[in-house]
Amino acid sequence: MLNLKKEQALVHLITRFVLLVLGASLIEGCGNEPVLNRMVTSLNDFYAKYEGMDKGKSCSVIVHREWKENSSESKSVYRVEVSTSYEHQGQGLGKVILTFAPTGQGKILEWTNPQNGEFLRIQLSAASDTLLDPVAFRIKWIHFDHLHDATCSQLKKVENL
Amino acid sequence: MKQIGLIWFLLAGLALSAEEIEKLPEIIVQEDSESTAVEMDKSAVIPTLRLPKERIEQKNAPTLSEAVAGESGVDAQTSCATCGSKRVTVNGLRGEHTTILVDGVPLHSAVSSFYGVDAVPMSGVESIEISRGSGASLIAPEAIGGVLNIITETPRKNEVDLALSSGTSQNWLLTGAASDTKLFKNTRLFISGQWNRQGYWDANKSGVWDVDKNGVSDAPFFSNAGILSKVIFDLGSRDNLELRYAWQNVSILGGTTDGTKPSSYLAIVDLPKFQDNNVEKPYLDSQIKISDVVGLERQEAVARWRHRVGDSAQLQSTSSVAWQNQDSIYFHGYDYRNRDLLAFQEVRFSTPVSMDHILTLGTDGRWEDMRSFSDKLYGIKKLAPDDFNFRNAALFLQDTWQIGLDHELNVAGRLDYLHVTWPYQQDGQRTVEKVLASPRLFWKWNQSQEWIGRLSYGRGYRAPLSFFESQHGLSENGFTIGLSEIETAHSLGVSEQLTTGPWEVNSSVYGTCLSHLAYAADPVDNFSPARFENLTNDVWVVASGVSGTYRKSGWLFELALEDFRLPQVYKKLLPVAATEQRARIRAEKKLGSWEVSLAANITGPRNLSDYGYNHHFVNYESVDSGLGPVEVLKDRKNQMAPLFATLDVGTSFQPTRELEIALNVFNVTDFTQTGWGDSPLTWNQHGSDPAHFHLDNLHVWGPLRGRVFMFSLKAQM
Repeated sequence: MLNLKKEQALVHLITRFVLLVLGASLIEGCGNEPVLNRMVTSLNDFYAKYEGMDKGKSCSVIVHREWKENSSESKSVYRVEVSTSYEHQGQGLGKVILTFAPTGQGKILEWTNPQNGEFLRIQLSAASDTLLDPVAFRIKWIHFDHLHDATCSQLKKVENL
Repeated sequence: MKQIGLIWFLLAGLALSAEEIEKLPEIIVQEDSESTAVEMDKSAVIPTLRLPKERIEQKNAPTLSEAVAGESGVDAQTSCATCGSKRVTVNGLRGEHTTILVDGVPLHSAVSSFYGVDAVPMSGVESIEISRGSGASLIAPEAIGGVLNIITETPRKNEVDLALSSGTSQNWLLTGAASDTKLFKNTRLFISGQWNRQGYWDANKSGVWDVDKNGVSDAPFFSNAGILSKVIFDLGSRDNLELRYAWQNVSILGGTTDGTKPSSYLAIVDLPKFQDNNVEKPYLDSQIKISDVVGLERQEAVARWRHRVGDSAQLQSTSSVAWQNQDSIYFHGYDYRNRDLLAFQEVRFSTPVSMDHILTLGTDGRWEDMRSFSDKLYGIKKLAPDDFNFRNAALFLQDTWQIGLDHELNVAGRLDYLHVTWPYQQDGQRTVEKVLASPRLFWKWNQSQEWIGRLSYGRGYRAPLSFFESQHGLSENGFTIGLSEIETAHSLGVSEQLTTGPWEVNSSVYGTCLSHLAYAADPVDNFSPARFENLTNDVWVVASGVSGTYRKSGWLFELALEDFRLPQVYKKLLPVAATEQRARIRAEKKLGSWEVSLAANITGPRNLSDYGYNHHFVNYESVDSGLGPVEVLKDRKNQMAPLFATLDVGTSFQPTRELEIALNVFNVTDFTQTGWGDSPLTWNQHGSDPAHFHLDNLHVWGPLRGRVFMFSLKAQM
């Protein structure tokens, strides 16, 4: 026979979790402050997209999720997972996780692959502790056997996704 | 008189034996002692220069491109200092517009025009005929620029020729030839062979051309080998059957200075490291990243039957097939192999129809299939192969008309059906089909005892077939066919020949109007393929020149001046800077058994920007963009090729008719463009994006190899 008290406690726990998630969604919708620990449930889902121009062609960066992790020094480290429009014939960086560059003074988020020289760097309009108001990004990525270097600038957030 | 020859040196393992003692004196016909002269055939209505075997041997030329380099109307250029790709051009047109025939048979196409010209050995070659202008060949209408017809030796007497040349910088040339007219009844045999090597990665690098010692070679290691065999059956008084088989091989290893040979393509192609990112400073990276290896093998088989019909008519049938295999790995990050099969069949009937007219009626057909393979390009990158199928059938009619004693007219016409298919090109045009009429007219006027005037007009065409090598190293994204037309050309030539006493003077002007020139348009971005299109505007190329030869009392003097007028839009589409003005000076003197010779070639200055060399840079720098350092091209390579001259001198001693010893010094002043301060290495901007650049070795405008001493021993039995 089920322990009714335990069952009720479980229900309360689940309910509070759901409310927490829903509440977090509402808060995000009300203001510009990013809400952390937001997750997407499918690979194609994203919640922010920024479009810009690269030598007359449109380009974009897509934000899939962002969160903070506790580091070994008890400081929280911001991470954001993004992908870009730069891909061809199935070649591209795909989703990569960026953190703030140590020498970027809070304005540069970056990912690097030291094995092959690929990287992605996003420049913010002002110092921040999350991905806020990006103005440009630079990507270096391997297309089969060649490294391609591109810069996408004049980024603007795409509304009404 | 006894003829006893005992050859006392060994040539590459060949054993030479004593000749039998003849019981009766042998009558020897001495050849013209001034036989190195390149002459215009006075009797020919089609203006044809003949480059004799003696001149080819004097140049120590092991390949077709080296044999014809510097001759009137002809330019032989290296378009890539690492892969050694050659462009042999006539009348200022492109390398693809030169038709190469062997004994009048088309055994070469655009596929072989890049490396195949270096596979053709010069052993067994009696002469090379140079005919300029469209329509220069009745059966090769794609000769838009002109024709190089390699005439192989015809066995006339029992003879064995052996020659060994050895030179500095690891240069070797071994040739041998034997002909026999008595082994079998009514059968003449000829066989020749050649092995040649230029450069080698020996321990002290004496065979390496790296003039600026930066660790990247300026000219590739090269070797070629070939065998030619010919049998002529004289089948009675009416029939003659000739069978010929040739095997040729060429090996090229470039870029490396220590013989590092890539066995596979590079998985990742990044910017190789130089000191200060400067290509003219020491190379700091792996030799694999700068090495190209190219191997090519050819086989040719020809059968020609001539039958005399009646008293003076002749029926001739020619069948030929040529196979070519190419196997290459380029440091741009890909492998490429191709197999090409070219078959040709011709039947012609010639008969005099009156005292003044000789008619020739004929038909020919050509069938060529090229298949290419590449693990990287087709297997990994999924690019479309550049395979093609080419079919051509034609009828031709020629009338040679002798009008009195002073005029000769040669009028001909061809009607061609052409069909080209690129079976794997999905996105663009896959098939081009055309019916073309190609008239031609040659008029020779004996104006006086001394003056001969010639006028030539011809229409030629070329089906643009092969592209991959046309855009070697630049089309990493493949190409699409946007062609809708065959290239066509009209060519008009006027020449005058004056012969008076010891003097002969030739002057000529050739104008070629080229329509629908095929070229590769810049890709729209870094991922799009190059698109081959037809140029919408016509292009006029004018080649003019005057040459004078003086021969008397054992002296031979020759002076030639040439000018090639190339329009700007055309220059931009050439793979390498062309010669625009050129002078040639030659002098020879026979002193008994000795002969001394001197040959100077002077090439005029050129603005290299006209040829797209403004995309060539010496170095790049890292510039902080706010998002990390960006590589930006910095200083352009030299954009003005200077006037320069090369000088070859030689001497030979012939103590007996059977033996000759020679010493030649090629490029006496040791002039190279790298030594002048402008190596062929460059950071090459691809397309219009300055951030997209690669290392290339194609900033070529002058000699890449310096001074070479060659010592030769020749024996004849």
